[in-house]
Amino acid sequence: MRKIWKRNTAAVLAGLMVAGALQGCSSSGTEATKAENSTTAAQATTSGNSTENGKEKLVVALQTYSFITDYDDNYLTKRLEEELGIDIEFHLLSADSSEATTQLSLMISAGQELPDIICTNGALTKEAVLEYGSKGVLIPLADMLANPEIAPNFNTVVSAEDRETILEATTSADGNIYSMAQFEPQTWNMTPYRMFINQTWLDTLNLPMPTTTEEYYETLKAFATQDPNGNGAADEIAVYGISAGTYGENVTIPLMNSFIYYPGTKATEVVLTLDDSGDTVIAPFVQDNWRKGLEYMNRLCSEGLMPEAVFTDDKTQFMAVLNNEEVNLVGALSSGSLSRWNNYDANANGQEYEMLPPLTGPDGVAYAPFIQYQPTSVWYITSSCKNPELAVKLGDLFYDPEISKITRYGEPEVDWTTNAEALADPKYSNAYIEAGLCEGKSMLVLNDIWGQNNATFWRDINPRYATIEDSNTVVYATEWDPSVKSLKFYADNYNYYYTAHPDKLLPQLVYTNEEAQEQSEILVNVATYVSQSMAQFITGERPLTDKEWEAYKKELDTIGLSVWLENAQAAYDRIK
Amino acid sequence: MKNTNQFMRKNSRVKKVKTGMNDQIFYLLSGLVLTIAFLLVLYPCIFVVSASFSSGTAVQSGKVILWPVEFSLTGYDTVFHTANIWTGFSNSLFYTVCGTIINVILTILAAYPLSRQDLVGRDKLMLFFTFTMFFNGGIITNYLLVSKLGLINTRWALLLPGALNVYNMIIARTFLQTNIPNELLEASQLDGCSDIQYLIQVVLPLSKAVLAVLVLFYGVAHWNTYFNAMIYLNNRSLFPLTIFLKEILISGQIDASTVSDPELAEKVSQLSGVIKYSLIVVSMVPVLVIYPFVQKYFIKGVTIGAVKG
Amino acid sequence: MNTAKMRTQTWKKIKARWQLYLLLLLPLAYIIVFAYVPMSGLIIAFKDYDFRKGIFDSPWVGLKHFQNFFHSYKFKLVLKNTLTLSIYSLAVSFPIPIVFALLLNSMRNRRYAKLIQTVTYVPHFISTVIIVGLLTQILSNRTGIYGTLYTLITGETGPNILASGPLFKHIYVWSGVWQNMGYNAIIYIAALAGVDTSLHEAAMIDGATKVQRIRYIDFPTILPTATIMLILAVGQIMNLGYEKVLLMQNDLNLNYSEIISTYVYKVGLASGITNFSLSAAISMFNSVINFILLLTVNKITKKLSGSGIF
Repeated sequence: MRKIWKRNTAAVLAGLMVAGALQGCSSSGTEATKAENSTTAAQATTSGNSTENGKEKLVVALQTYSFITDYDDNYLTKRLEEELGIDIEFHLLSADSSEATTQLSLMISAGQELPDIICTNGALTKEAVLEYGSKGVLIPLADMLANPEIAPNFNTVVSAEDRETILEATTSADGNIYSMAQFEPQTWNMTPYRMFINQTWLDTLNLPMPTTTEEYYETLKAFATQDPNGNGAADEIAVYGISAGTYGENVTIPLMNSFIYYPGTKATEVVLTLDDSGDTVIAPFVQDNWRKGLEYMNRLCSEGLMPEAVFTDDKTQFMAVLNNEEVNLVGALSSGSLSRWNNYDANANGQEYEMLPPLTGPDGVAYAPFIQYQPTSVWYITSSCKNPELAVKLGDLFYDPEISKITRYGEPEVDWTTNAEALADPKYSNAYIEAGLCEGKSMLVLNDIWGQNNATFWRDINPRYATIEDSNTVVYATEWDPSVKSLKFYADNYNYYYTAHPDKLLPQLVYTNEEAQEQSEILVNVATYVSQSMAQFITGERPLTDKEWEAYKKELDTIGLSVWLENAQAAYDRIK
Repeated sequence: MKNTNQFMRKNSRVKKVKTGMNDQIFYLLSGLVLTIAFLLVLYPCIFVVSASFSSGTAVQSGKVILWPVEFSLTGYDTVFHTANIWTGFSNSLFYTVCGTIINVILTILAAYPLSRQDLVGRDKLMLFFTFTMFFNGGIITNYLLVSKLGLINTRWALLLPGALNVYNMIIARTFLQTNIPNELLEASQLDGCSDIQYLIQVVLPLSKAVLAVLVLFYGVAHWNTYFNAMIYLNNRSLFPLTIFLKEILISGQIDASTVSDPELAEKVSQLSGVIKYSLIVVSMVPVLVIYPFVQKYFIKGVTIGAVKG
Repeated sequence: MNTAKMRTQTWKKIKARWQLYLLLLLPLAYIIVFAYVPMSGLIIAFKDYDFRKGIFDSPWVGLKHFQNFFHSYKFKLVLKNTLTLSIYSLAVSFPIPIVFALLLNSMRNRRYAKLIQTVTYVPHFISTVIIVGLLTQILSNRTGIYGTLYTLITGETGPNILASGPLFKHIYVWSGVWQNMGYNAIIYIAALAGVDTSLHEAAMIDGATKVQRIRYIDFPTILPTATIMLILAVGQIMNLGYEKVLLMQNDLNLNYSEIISTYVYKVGLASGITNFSLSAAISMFNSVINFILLLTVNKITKKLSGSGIF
């Protein structure tokens, strides 16, 4: 009995091992041959830069995206290869930006031969570009970019003003330009802090649309106490948002803009602004007006109009509340995307809202947070590249108007068209055109491939040039229906928020390596402390007395806010 | 054996009614405690499976509480229609099987000698191994080493680094030390058994439980391996499943800082709400399937009972 | 003369056990190549690492990175939070799997026991993101199970427990138990497989209760394993990962939830460049503490119970 049992297990074990070994052999065998056939970057970089067919070869380290099923057999890749008569090979980087950063930094640390081009829109920070650039891993491109022979599109297609913006934004602190950029500003994304108010509730309670912070307060009070959703329970949330939101959901930011201008940003950062003169960099979050804003919101919070949940909820909770089934729960909120309501145009809760213009504060301030558009650096050329001019030429090709359309919308005449006849069809339109903000349509999207698996493009991880006008005149092949609220909001957003900010804004600052190093930890601590204190002051966990306010400012001094301010002023003076 | 067991239990119950009562209370209480723990843990499992079968909107807006809401297979559809998913699956299988075999062999090779009291310098050797649990050269030197050994972009990069986990080795050694009676060693030495023979003929057959634990720990680690694959591999035909799954996951996530058009990113984000759960289920199935086979070796009283009986 | 004699004796002992050393050869070679050779990388903790110059030629800076780390903002608070979380975690999540394994092992219905064992093993594989998401969902005072129950019983909206700093550690630790109890119990369940059934039979004839049998038969069997697991767990006190804590952080619990790893993560993210030297210094700091703790506990257990790692 015992023996049989023993023998059995031994046999099973042996069998397992043999099976494992066999599988090991067979698959490693086939893999080896596969690996030989496949064109990996390692081989590509060692075998020089021309292929058997005599074409020159460029290796692009490209950040992947899972929707793209094939990069080699890819419409955009083929098109680029044809236009320049070259071969493009890929060294695919992780889809996750921080992982791609690790991959690149290890390749560089190990002193390996690098791909000719690095194409990523998040893996290299400004600091990293400066570090790699100044140490010779990335090569400066300014001269080549200025040469119309090498960069024809950049010098003709791109307008002089935009060219200036791109060059400014891509200049490193050492004065060199190490990248080519993607330029595609969109009004909708520049003012993500969209305030909404429940029009149905206003109508039920017979209230006007509030225009000042005081009226807003009264309205919220009515929302909270007069049961506008009519279910007999005091379950209404007068004003809602989430401070952890990354796309306009942090309701404290737009409210603060009725007291002091503050552009807002990701939850983990804080930003500096300019004073009224436009010459001096200031920290808005230590100004007296900031305190007034906190006091106002503290009032909302202490009277139960703004729930503590604003500081603890995540996106799922936010959406759960917004999409509550029995009754609508929310009176007013801030959100960047309408997709926070499931299927917005058919969402009973969502349809109750109207967009709210910036509220006027006690001192007459009525700003809307404005996130200035920054061209994104995406195209870097490494010192391993034997023909940098060709690499710039390839980067420049993306600025070609048609290629720029392909990189975002897909294959011409399949996914989109500029055919005049098709465009003339009056049933296609968009909010900007309807509101008279733009003239004419520039292209018609036939098939929106953005959310589909495809081998058509690189999903916009590449240089590109499209102006605001370009993107506002794109129409989609669905019949325009003026009663559809979500479309109308595009025009509202533009009208209410787009210009509601001070004339002079602090541009994105470029710090030197020393400055960056000196302040990196300070920045984190200031951001953490400001956002933490904001939550504490608003919820009343920390009383907003003179003493506490002074203590708050003093703590920021201890952390080193003044160092940051000095550096920022210096950086601003350098470009002013 | 089972029969005698029951018989004896009955017998003792007749003899000692009081003990029986005590035992009844104990069984009741422990059963209650375990059932509560069971239900508490069962919940997230059901939740994950339900969420994976729900619609993206339902998951994202927190509508799934226990059972699927708006039943949908979109998540699985996306996962299984991703290019390369099967390449990843077979690669992961390969890494798991081969890697675990290498791991277990290497672990036993170290654990067995170190479990022997008569090994001169045992403590020093243990210290030599244990030290590496705490101090290592960091990512750069490890990368350089793997690169110098020519392992970058080969399957070995996922098999060799980490081939011996000192933590698991210590566990295995403790097992060998405590679960195998010393008399067996003495007896076999009298029979003229060499140390290697003793290992193969006596120790290993008696160590199924610990071997099962090692297979499980190593197997799970290989199946979930991610970081090494991410930094050492670039050839997509070598990627394990985890890399492809992560790619799918990332595709739906939004990081407002890196996306130049967040509204566009929102368009695909609802999908990611479900995918997240489908991915967990997909990657967990093999781990679950293997567990009963491993569990088999945990059955009470097999080892010593088998020898003595 | 004496020492020489001893030496020859030792040599004889080694020679007698040559096969054991032969077996050890491969693992030793592995450890030397894959752990000790790259260990030279440790020195970058004392250098300003520059990728152009490499590890050996980067300039020495002494203890600069350690000092920066110790002088970082609110270091004391962050260290205190780290230790609170990890010690609390150890105190709870070390004994519970042992109790769990003992209870499970004593269950009469084996199929039910197996089912429980399998199910409790599953949550270990659910990713942190999902676990934390689920946690926030359950504990939400408006939409979650907690909130619904609270409202059902008291008729009002419950307090927001996610906003409470002092509650953070409990949520963190107990959700960890919830997720890992089953997986951590495996090792003890396997160890219990070594219990000699004849001992149980004999004890039953002697009229021992189930509790007594667990106390005097089962528990001593797993004690050596438990001791080693304790030593290993203590040696990981400083290794508190950032991911789960970071996901559970919010502005209202930050004073209790900022730990070394989350802080380092944030600073690293903001600086834009990976500071390999600083991370090496921090991990060395953690490792030294861990290692000292391990040596200490090892010594203590060796003295008390005779078992230890070395």
